[in-house]
Amino acid sequence: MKMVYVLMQKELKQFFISPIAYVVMMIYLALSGFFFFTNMEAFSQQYKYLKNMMQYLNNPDILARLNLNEMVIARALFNMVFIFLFLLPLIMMKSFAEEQKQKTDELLKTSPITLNQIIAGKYLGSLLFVTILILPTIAYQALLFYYSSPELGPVITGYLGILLFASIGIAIGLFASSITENQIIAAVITFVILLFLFIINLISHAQGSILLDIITYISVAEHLSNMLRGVIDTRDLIYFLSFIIFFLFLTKKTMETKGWR
Amino acid sequence: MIQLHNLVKNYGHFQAVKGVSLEVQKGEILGFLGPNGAGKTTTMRMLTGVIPPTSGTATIDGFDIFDSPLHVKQRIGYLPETPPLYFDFTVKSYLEFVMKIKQVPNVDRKQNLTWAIEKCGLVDVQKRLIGNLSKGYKQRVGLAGAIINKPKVLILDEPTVGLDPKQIREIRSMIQELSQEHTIILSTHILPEVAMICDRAAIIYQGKIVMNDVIANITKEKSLEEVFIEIISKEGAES
Repeated sequence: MKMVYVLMQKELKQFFISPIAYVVMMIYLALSGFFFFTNMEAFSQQYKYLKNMMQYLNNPDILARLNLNEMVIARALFNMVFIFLFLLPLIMMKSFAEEQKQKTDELLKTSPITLNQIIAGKYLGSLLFVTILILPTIAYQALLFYYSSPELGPVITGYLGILLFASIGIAIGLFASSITENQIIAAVITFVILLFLFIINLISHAQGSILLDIITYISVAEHLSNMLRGVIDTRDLIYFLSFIIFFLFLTKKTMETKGWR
Repeated sequence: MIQLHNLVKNYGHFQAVKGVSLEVQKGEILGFLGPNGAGKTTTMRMLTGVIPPTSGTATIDGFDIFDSPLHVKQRIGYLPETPPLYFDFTVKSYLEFVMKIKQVPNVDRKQNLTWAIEKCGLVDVQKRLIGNLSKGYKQRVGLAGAIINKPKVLILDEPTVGLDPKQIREIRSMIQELSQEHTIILSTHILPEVAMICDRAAIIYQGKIVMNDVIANITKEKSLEEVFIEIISKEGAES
């Protein structure tokens, strides 16, 4: 456990020592802020419109159709996941690829640590970095809570959903950077796998069979939408966990074929 | 201290190392010689656990590299051809990280760090980024990382490459000093260096050990360089 902690620390340090962390953070905060603003703007437009309607029709129920959680928070959180689709490949492309290129893997290989400890250290270090990355966006939600009273539950499950999606991305990124020492290739592989998980449900409308169920199950958006709505379903948790374990397993097997033990 | 039994490494159809057997006694310095591509680095990498051997085995301090790799790795310090450095770390923080993953006990860390930094002449650069250092300094940081846990066995792949003459002399005397408590395998192309500091020399050629003897025996009649050239041209003519 102590070694995992040491390796995690080193991983996190490497993020913050290089300019990458700050560039990624800036992009992430700027984009998520922009998405938050556009969703908020759309909401307030609709609010004004419905308020006029209410006065005109004299029907106070109309305003009840507006839901801050669904119309602003859930959408903004989904957009944050969407940004990760592009940023996770960039965050993760160094990981094992750089170690192999700079030959620093030889230091890790000849030190008294196991492959499991190395993978766990890298995984947790990256996860911690991503957590630090999304932490400041809580400020946007805090604004909403200050001026209005949305439900807290869906916000928490929504953030959990983002972290789980990032966890899958990190596992895929580790795998991709373990098979190559070329960072660009690693980034592209991570991106393609993540994109595949994202868009596969687009074809589900065309089918109507068992295939539909499978595709719906694989699609990450289906599982995320539950969490963004505030529902934690064990099936979704199993989905995320099984993907994480699957890609960490692949990473381990790839490293083993390269002589890591 | 170190035993290699019939180590073999195949890369596809190419056999890089064809059954190397060696033994190094405690406190000995073995000079590991051979032309480029003879299998020196491959043998050292197998011994340190960087790559698994195709067949054969090796033990270090009585521990098998297959059965108890962690015990073996606690006992070795390895300086590869390319020093394994994190360029965006400072010298000091790099060495601290190396001590942590090599599990140097907390109480010894401060002392080991000062010792390694002084031994390798890094006092003036310890706060600088490794990426900004010259090649010679990088080599020395690599060396400091290899010796920092005071390992029983030290395996150095061309430790004096890229150093200036003064540094080479310093490193040599350091290696000799270390050999009092450590067992050392040293690969190099500089033959006089071997004659000067090693107790024993092994010459590897085309993946096989073609000579393994005490320096005094080898250099009885001819210089080490003559012996080396002779062996390599003779073996080359045969194959």
